[in-house]
Amino acid sequence: MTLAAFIFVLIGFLLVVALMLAARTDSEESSPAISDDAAPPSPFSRESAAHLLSRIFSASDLQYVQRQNNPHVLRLFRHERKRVALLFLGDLRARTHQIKTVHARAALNAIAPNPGAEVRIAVGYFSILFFTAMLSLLVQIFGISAIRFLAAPASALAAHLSRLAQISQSVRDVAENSSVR
Amino acid sequence: MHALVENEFIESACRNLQGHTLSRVPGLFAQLIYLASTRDYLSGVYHHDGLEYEYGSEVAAEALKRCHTELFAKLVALPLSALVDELNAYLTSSGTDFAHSLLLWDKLQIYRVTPPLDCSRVSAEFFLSNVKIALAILYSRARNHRPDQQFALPLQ
Repeated sequence: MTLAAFIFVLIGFLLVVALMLAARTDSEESSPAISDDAAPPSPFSRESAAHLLSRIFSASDLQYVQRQNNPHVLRLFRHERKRVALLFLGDLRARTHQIKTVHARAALNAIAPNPGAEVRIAVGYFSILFFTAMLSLLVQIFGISAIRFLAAPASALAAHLSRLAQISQSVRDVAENSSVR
Repeated sequence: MHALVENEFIESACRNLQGHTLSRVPGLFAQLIYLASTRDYLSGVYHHDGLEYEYGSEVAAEALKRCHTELFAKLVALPLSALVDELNAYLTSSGTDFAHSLLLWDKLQIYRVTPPLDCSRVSAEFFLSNVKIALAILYSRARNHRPDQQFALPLQ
């Protein structure tokens, strides 16, 4: 094995480890005692997600905290915003997983499966998982400096999730209608 | 049709609550604390004697829940600077020692009971996180204004 190939494999390995770490550490501090599976999920709206994102990634809040001239408060702010940003990305991942689980259950019982829609859902599912992991990794590494530039991609991911939910819902609706007939 | 009528009752109860009760509670933060305190810790159901007498328990509970959710959304949307002002107004309104109230809030994290049940976990955490930061800002300001004052606990 050449040195270049070895470095390439090493970088790949480090990336996988980093992605796993990013996925693991998003919400450790605020994990509920009872897993989210037991609680009904709160409704997801693209508009409210976008609005919340603009608040989480708000530059004016950072400027306000910087004007306080208190290193402890600034440190706390950086830590908290990073935690909430990771929580947001973790929530997107969890919702994507939820859609996949519900959809897979419905697809198993479908009388007339739609391969095209299934492929779109599978691609959507894996792309959201991949990009949320990448964004989580960037937030982990660069903290609040990265957060400021991540509002747009995170918002795009939320929109993507919303579309995925719509496709999945329409496929399930069609399956239900055909089974009723 | 029934749902429509019920919704009108709930809207009316909300207006009643705004006009007779919430308008007398100064500040958004105080109103949030008030609405959260009308929710039963075990059942999560809201209670308000006056509203229940006028509209029945179900409509009253739904109106309280709706007002709570709307007010919470308003507070989540506030810039951090405005939230600091709201929290400051609330903590100074009682007349108790400001530094003591700050430390109590930081230690007991009383604000954790304020989010409504139907809000998302992320928006609840974002709000609680903002309150924590606001407490730290108020604490640092209080310490700067009263350097002679000994504060028992540094905020984490």
